[in-house]
Amino acid sequence: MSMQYPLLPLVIAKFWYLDAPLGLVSYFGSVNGSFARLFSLGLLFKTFFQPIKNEYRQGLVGFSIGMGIFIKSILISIFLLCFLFLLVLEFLFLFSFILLPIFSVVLFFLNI
Amino acid sequence: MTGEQYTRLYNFYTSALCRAIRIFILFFIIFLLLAQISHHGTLKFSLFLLIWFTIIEIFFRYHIAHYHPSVPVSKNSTSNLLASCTAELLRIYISSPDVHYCIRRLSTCAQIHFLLEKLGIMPEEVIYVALEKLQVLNYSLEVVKSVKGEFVTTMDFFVSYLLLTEEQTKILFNRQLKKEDLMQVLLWARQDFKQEELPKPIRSNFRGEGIGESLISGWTLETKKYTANFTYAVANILPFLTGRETAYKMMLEALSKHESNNVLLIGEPGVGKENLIAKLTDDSYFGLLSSFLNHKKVLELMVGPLIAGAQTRSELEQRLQAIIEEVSHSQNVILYIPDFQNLMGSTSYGIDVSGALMPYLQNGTLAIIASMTPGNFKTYLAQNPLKDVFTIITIDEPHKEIALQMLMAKSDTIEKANAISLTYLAIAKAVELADRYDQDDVLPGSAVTLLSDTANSASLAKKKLVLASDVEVQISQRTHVNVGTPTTQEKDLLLHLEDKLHERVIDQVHAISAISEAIRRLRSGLTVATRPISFLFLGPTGVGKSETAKALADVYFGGEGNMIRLDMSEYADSDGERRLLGAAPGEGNDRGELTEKIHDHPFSLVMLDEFEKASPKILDLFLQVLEDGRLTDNKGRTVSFVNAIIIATSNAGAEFIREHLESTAQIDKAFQQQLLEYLQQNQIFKPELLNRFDDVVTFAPLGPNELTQIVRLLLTSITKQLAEQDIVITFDEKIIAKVVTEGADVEFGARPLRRYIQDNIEDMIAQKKLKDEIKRGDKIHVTTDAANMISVTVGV
Repeated sequence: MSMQYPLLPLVIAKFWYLDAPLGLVSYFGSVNGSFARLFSLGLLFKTFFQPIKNEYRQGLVGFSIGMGIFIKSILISIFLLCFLFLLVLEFLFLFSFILLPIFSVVLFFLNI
Repeated sequence: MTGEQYTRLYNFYTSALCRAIRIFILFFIIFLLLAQISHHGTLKFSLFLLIWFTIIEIFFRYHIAHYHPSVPVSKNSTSNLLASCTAELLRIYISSPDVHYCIRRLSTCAQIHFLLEKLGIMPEEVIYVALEKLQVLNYSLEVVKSVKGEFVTTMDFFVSYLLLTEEQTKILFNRQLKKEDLMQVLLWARQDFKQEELPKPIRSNFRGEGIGESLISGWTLETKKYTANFTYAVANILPFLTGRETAYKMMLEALSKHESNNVLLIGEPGVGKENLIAKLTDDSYFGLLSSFLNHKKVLELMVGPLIAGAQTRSELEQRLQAIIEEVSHSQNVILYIPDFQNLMGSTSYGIDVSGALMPYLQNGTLAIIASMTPGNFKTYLAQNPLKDVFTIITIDEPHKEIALQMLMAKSDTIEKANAISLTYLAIAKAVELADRYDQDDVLPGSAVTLLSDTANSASLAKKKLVLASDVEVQISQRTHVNVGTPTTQEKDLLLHLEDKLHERVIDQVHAISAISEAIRRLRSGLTVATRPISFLFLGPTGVGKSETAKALADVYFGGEGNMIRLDMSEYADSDGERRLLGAAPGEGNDRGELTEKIHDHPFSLVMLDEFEKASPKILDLFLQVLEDGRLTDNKGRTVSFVNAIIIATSNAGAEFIREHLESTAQIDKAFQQQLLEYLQQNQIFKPELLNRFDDVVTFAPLGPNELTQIVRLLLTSITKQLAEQDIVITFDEKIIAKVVTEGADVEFGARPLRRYIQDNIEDMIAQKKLKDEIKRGDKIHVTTDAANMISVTVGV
């Protein structure tokens, strides 16, 4: 069997440093998209200048719009903060993944 | 690396030995790690091992196990067939020493299990025939090309094996399956298990409404009182799009317009209007449409609650106004109004809101999907300017082939609802029988209802599989039509139908044999499925025309009570058409005497007595019945006669027949032709009407021999009645001759015989019984005395 698979280490290397990171990036992209949909980020931006529940109160139109902007600003800020946290986690995971084989060698030079 | 190498590596890695080694290595690393931690030793080596163990596991799990073929079948020159095989097939193919082993292992796969279940074959019923693996694989390539597939799957390989071995095994033939059926099932299985051929990459896919949606859309508190949430109602029904792609695209385009973004779906009940809306609802909820249509709530307007409790018309309009304003303000609601005629002045509710709706529908603030039947559209909306603000989408009944695909897509829902499996033949049979026998709904709805009812019955009977025969039983129970293969008892009856009928009808061999042959053709599936079997019986009174029809009803249709008998002399005036076809709309609720009966009992014997006496207008109606097999009543409902047998009887030309027989004494083809010409020349029947009957049978007047036999037959019934009272009665030849001589009549044939026997023999016996001259256990002999008077002698 060994004669049939001389290029296996190269295949593993290609998978680890090319195919898998690309796959991970695509996967994280889909996670980010789902996150944005879950928190309705697109819709909140689109209707940023509309009142909550689209409720234009007679005589209080300006106030309704202002209140809408205020509440949506809070929500968007919270969601963006969560989003940032998610991006950091994803980056850390990707970085660790790529460095894992190198780390296995570096280990021997560390004092543990 | 080639696909074969990937597969060998995968097989090796997932083999029992290798699994055991992997588990051992993992435990060894963990043990080493723990040991080094507890002894404060260096962790470098154990961590190094753990990292590389993880790397190799990830490599196999996400790379080797995810092998996907690279050469599509269309580009494979057969030099390397394995390059076009899916990973799942390759794993089994490479690790199996022969086809036998290969097929056995394939039979355990979910997709093959599905395939066999739909074919009605148990896995253990698959017969193994020695073949070369390569031969089956080569044939698989052809199979994949024929279903326009991309790669060779386990299902293609299995189907190829079934086809290659069919000559020896007859496994398909024995289940009445053809190659076309097998290919349909293969397409179905490939669709349900498309992950094998076209695996999807691993992705996170959140669908549905986000948590901010409810903040954006307006309140619909008033609307909720009069609507049902259609989005929730269809959450679990998996709507399908098969065959309706164009209509769906049109609907999406119409709803995306900035003005007049309303849709009116027009189609007969059962055509799939609601399924189309369910598909839109589903796609919108999951955010699969354009951003303008995504995450819309579909609310179904319920006219009942809307009008309930409304004291005045203005109160009703206020309610509607509130709904319209809320919905247009909410921005995320599509209003679904089924039976739109209810708001357009239909007689049930008497409200017309077209004026109130018009401005909202025009400016695009309110999106409505309405539905109605073509008949209601013509009546209530075709002339109304409101129709211009709708995009009208007409949904026609699909062809049977498309309906079959729709039903295959729907079968999953039916199976889950009834915890039962449907075979392909059951589904195909449901489409065929629903199309032929359901007179109220059209395909595919009629077939879905039939299949659901069958699945429900089978589920209650603790069955696991619905077969074609179950569907036949279901439709037989519903329509009283024998649709399955005749039972042994029925076959025996069909083969001896002439004898059975002759037990009641003397002579008239031509008529008896004509109707017997017709019934046999009908039950053998050799008749034209678009028109009924029909006969015209001509002849003088009392020769057995009606008796023949009654005998057929008694012998084959379960009794004379099951015969639809219409005395056509009652349809001679202008009121006849109303009686036959029912009252016109707005003129009452009278049902048509013929159409209603045929609707309820499509497999019936219809006897049209004294046919010539019906008005010419009524006779013209039968032109359509006899030719097209259908008749539309005055309410617009069409009933089918294709499963009925129509026997029209007529005395027309009786004198002509009698005169002819007095000179030549026989009825031949030439005379038959003369008789038909006579009927046409005297404008009794139109030539086109006569030509539409399958057979015109002339009944000859009865001679002394036939009359004698009829008398014997009538006296036999007295014998049977008295035998039940333990009285034996015998008749000699003299009394029979007397009844024939005195009872028969030239003009009325055998008809007066029964009356003569009743008046002269039955009455005499009745009197003697009442005087106690005849008692239980007596033997009676009936004869004539010297003065040719009837005499009854009583003995013990």
